[in-house]
Amino acid sequence: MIENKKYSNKYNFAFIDESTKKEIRRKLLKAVAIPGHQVPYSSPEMPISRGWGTGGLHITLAIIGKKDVFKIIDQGSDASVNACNLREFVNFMTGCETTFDTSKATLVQTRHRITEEELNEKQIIVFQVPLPEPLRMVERYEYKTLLMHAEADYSKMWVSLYESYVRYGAIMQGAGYPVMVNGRYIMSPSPIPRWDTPNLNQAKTLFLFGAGREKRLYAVPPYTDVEPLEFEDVNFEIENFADAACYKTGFKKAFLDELYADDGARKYVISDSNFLDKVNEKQETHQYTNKYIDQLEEYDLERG
Amino acid sequence: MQTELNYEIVFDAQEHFRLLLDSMSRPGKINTFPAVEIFPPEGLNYGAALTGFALLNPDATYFICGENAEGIADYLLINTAAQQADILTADYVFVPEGYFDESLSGARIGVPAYPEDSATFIVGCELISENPHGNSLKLNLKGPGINGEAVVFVSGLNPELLDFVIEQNSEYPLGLDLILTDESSNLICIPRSNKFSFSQPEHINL
Amino acid sequence: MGYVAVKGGTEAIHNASELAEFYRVKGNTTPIDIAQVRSQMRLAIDKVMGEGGIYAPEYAAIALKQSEGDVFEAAFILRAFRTTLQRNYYSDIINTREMFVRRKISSSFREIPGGQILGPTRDYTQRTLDTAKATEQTADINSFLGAFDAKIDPEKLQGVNTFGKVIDLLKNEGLLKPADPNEDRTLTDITREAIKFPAPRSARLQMMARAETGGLMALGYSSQRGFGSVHPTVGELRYGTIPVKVKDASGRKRYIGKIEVTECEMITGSRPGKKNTPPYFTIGYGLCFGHNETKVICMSTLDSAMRRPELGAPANDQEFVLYHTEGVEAMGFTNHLKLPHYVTFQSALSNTRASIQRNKQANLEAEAYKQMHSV
Repeated sequence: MIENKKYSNKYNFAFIDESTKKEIRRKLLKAVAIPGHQVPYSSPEMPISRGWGTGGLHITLAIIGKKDVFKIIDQGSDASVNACNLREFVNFMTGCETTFDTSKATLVQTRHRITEEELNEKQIIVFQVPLPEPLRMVERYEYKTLLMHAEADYSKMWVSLYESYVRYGAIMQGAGYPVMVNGRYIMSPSPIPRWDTPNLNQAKTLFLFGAGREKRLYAVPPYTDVEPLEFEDVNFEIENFADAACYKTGFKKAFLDELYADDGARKYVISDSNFLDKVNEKQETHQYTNKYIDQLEEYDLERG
Repeated sequence: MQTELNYEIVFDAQEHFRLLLDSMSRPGKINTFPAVEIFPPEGLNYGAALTGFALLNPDATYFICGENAEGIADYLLINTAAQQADILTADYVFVPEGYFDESLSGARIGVPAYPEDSATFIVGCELISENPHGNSLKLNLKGPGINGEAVVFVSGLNPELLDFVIEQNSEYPLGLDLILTDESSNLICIPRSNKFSFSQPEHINL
Repeated sequence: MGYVAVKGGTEAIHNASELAEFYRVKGNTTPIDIAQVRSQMRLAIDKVMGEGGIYAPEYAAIALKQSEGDVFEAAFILRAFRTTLQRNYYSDIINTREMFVRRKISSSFREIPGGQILGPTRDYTQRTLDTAKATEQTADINSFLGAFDAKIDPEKLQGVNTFGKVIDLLKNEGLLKPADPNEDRTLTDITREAIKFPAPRSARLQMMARAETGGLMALGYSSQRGFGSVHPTVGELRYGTIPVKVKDASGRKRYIGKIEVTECEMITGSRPGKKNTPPYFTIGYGLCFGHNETKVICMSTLDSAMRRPELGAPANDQEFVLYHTEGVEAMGFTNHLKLPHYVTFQSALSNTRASIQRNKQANLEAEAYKQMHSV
């Protein structure tokens, strides 16, 4: 009997065809060679909506191997529904082991957060990026921002930060704070909170960024200078959780999510779900340190 | 000639690419390709062949320098379906041990808006090691990917090639990126972001 | 908490998916036959194929059924499906002069070679709700088809013709602006590389060919209303079937099948040239899969409009038109606002609270200063 192949769905390992994987791989090597520079790529459609992580997926699926252990988080949480969907997709397409434990993962895909626990030389983290162009907030046209990067003419950006200070008394950039990479390119680190931004600087791990809808890839190698844009007298600051503590663990020295209970009461909880688990179970953790976090007082880690 | 039967186009390519990615992210770190039973032609070492297999396909082009260019080109065409191009347009330039020629100055270094639109050199060497050996050149590497400074010793490399690369990379972000592989399948990468210098071995008194 | 929460998250999305499927089938009605969608929802299928960028009527029908009639979703499904397919050939350039014409009209001339052929159109019907469709039976359809057949007089059937183009008439008379030798004629493939601006015409037409009809319509409409107008007149609009050919490995041309397309050649004013240059006409071009007249009318209007960036309206702006009519990207990104953004928002809250605090502090200090110096 002749097999009816009409509707048979046989997917290539990691879904993407080998041609596209190679194109992404070639572009990744160039992105790594020019830290912070956005490299255009073909960005083929995926069965996941644009704006929902196709860029991150392109990188993950182009580099993932059978032995990788995959972790995926959204806003720091493994439980986030979109992360669940993407985890299922990657697992289905590769058969890779998945984990929630940051220290066990070899490949981490993330939306808008870096893990609280420090990543090491053996790990790679892939960011989902909505808007790769940091200059878009001061210039709407792609052909113009392209020139600005080409000529390292970032005056419009600096003026906008200055104006923000004059108007509001501080640089009012929240998440996705623009950074200068390797002294040459202004880059958007994706909408990570300012809490995470300093952890890109001189880090042990490789950071890869994928903007699928906008069709750009970029990278920050380990041990690379990543400096938040600031003035000599108006400095970059991380979020202030001085009046807050995680209601489950009492821990203060992590990025906290604000929650509202049914009665309107405000509570805070550690945003990174795996870090929260570990602190809650009093397991050993290895958190990032940087000069901003270190400046915070040492908080009592016992339940408050 | 036929395609390499022992090369796994999905999984070997992925595994070897991870080594290339690690090497390009950490210039000076010496990685080694695992043993794969392939039979590259004269003038192309295992590492260079595996690099070609990992990165080349019909959407990329290459230029072969030096001896047995046609043999190597046939081998790459059959195994990757990628085509040759001239030095002015090629994406990948295969440079054999000890080679340098002025014509390499035609290789693409990108333009300010698209610095990534540039060639990558796949350079064959004799040995890449953490230790000095024979008349190896000492490379001092500094820049993104390196914690402080890295030192590597490479033999079978023409110092004129390194001078040339330093010159081509003097207007960062334009430049060339290097992938170096030796006769024992060791691998290092030197991206254009790297500020490297090198010194020749001191003459040994006989 | 991690494991439980993730298990909860995964369970939630599975339940949501199952619930959506429940909504699709809970009516307990007969499953829709794909053949019915194909034959009775022709225009929905054509729209989905056009925006999905793949000519596959059966798969378009499946996608429409799967998505409960959501055309955006169905086009997205086709696009994703398209990515999984291997590309074997590039076809020869299709020649619409070879079209088996089903419909052919021109607004620019009263009579055209071959005549104005209205073809299958509802343009001249009254849009009253036809409640008879609620009780339509096979017998009714058969009766209609029978009567329709009976009207065709076999004596009057002629051989199939192809027809010359209206624009050829204009060209021959020297009314069309000469082709610009400096125009960027690079042939890009926008599915293989990211678009770069200014984009060559091949890229602009490709992007519009699979753009979302409503997006193109809004911008085409804006141009007509005076936002960067190019004063368009339909030179020729055609809908019909054309053959597709490829070159096989030995170089021989092979016919691989036929597709339906809609094409519009829009006569528009061209950019004013140097002094003493006549105000030549130029042609805006639109082509898409299947039968979609709104799309090609707007496509061709915008093709001309984008060649007049100096007019300064959104329709004249390449980046604006091409980025924002890309339906799959637009639908994805607008809807992505539903994803959690609480960390991003937390960061903004932190800034705003600090700013309000500084403001309060500054006001207090100003008050205190006033008090001190008012005595």
